[in-house]
Amino acid sequence: MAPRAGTRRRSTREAVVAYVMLAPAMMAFAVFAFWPFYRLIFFSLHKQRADESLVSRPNQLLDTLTGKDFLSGARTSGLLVLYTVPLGIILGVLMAVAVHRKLKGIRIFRTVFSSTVASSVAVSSVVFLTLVNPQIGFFKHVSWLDLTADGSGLYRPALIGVSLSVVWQNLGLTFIIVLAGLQAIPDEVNEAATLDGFGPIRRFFKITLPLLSPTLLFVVVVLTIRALQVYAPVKVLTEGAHQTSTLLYQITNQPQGDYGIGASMAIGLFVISVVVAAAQYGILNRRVHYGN
Amino acid sequence: MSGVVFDKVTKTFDGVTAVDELSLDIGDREFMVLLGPSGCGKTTALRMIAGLESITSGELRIGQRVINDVPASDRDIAMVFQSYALYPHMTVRRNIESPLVASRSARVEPTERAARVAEAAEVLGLTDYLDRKPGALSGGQRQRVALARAIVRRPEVFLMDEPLSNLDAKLRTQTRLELVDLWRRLETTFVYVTHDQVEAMTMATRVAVISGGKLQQVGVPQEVYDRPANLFVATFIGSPPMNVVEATVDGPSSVACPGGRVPVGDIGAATSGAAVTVGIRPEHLAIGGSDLTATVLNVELLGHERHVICQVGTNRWVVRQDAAEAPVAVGHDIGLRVDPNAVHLFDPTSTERLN
Repeated sequence: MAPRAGTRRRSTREAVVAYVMLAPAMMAFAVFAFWPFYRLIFFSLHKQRADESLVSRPNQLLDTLTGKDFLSGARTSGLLVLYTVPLGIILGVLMAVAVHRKLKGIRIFRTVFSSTVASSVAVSSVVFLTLVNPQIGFFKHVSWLDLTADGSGLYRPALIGVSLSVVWQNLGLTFIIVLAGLQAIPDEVNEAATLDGFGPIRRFFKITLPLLSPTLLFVVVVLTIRALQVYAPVKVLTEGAHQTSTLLYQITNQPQGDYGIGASMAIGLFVISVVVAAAQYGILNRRVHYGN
Repeated sequence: MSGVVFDKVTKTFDGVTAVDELSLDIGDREFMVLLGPSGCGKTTALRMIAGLESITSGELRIGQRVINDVPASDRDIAMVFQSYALYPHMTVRRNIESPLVASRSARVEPTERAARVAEAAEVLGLTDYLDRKPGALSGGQRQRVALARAIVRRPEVFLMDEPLSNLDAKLRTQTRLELVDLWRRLETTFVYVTHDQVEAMTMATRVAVISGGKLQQVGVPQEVYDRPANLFVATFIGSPPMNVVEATVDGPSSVACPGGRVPVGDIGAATSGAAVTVGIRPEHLAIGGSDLTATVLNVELLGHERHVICQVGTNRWVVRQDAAEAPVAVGHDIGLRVDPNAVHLFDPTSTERLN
């Protein structure tokens, strides 16, 4: 039975080595994810007094998540997802398809199209604000682009303005991921489709799009989560006015000194993100072709 | 049914010439193999027939029709790619029927389509796999799906780009047979690109040897093997390759080279005293004789025959020896006899054949 004991010793040693190697990552996770998350839950169940002492408040979490502020923030964020994700995907795919060809100077376009990845959200929000400025902005004559207008139902003009800024900021990322996805499709498959008689448009819908579907699923999930976490554009463009106060803006817009409400909302946002991402994987995954 | 004609067809990519004034007449119902090392332009030539590459100059015809500017989908050709290029998200059935659905010219009624798919699947033994996706098939089965997709549209010309190179050796041998069988059954034109001389020799009705974008020789396999037009063809075809040595013509029927004198049945255009390149295939050398002296460096046993590697002058040559003959010992000096009627002479400068 010596070999079995030897195997066990070896697997123990391998486990020790594995944990030693994992340690740095685990520590980083502990400090930057697990500990803050624990504090979040802690704060969501306590109220901070003016003298910084804490009182237990077990109902605070549930009260906040069913309260007016959270629900209106959630509605706004949901609408922002609706405004930004489909538009962002369509534009990103169109741009990637446009430059996915062998042409002289195409690298210039690739660089320009992916440039929004390299600019900070705050800076591009300020640029967007300048573009829509009613006096000097490039878009000053575009009447529907009004960051000071209120709307009703699904139509919120100011939020549409914020959404365009978000779409623009995310476009570089979408473009790069989709272009990588396109480049992963073998040329020969497209050539075979050409010889089979598929025209460019049918080739795109029958061959390219299905083969791109895993990439698109990934992009949908990423864009949704980013849309749920929009903060800076709201802060810069509207400061939460005119029906643009998203969840994250609501969270930071709580009275100074009391973290309890904000922490509760943050947990709500976390739960929404997880549920939405899981649902997207669950629903869309059935329509995705991973090839081999 | 029709042949393919290259008339001084040239293709350049950014100033680099991939195919250089290729003129080649591929007959109707011919199994033409384009053979050459990688990068020689054979695949580019095939892709020009398919319409996947534009033609820089010259004229390309299928039958009587000039196809230079005909879109790929209207050329009535089918192509099998090296990677098979199947659609991974479609079932085998939908892969096979795709030309009948997509192409305007090949589109047929659903009942006819189903019948044709069933027939193609039957021919290639895929009937049980029609509802699977390519990912669930073996390499050989995927290759058959690619073939089925090609035959289902009943094209004028079949194009194949190294279709066997992703198969293992055993399957390759078997598929070679099946391809020839398919060609006989379909009675149509095959243009087949490969770098593998065995595929060329075993399947082709004619072989076109291409190197550096230029056609070197075209002919039936035996002729290309027996009378190579130049030194490139001589050394590219044949395994082990032809033995080559620089020599001088020293009489009407012999040349002198390091290691001895080689008798030559016909020196052709070579003149006495001229420098020539001599080529002798391993099977045209025999051990025991006094034409050349050699030192045995190694003996490779293949079961039915032996390859005796020996030093002749400054060159390393291979002698093919039947396993029934007496073996030779490594390190020993031996005499070699040359079959005078199988000696090839080439011009050292132009490398063209002299005899």
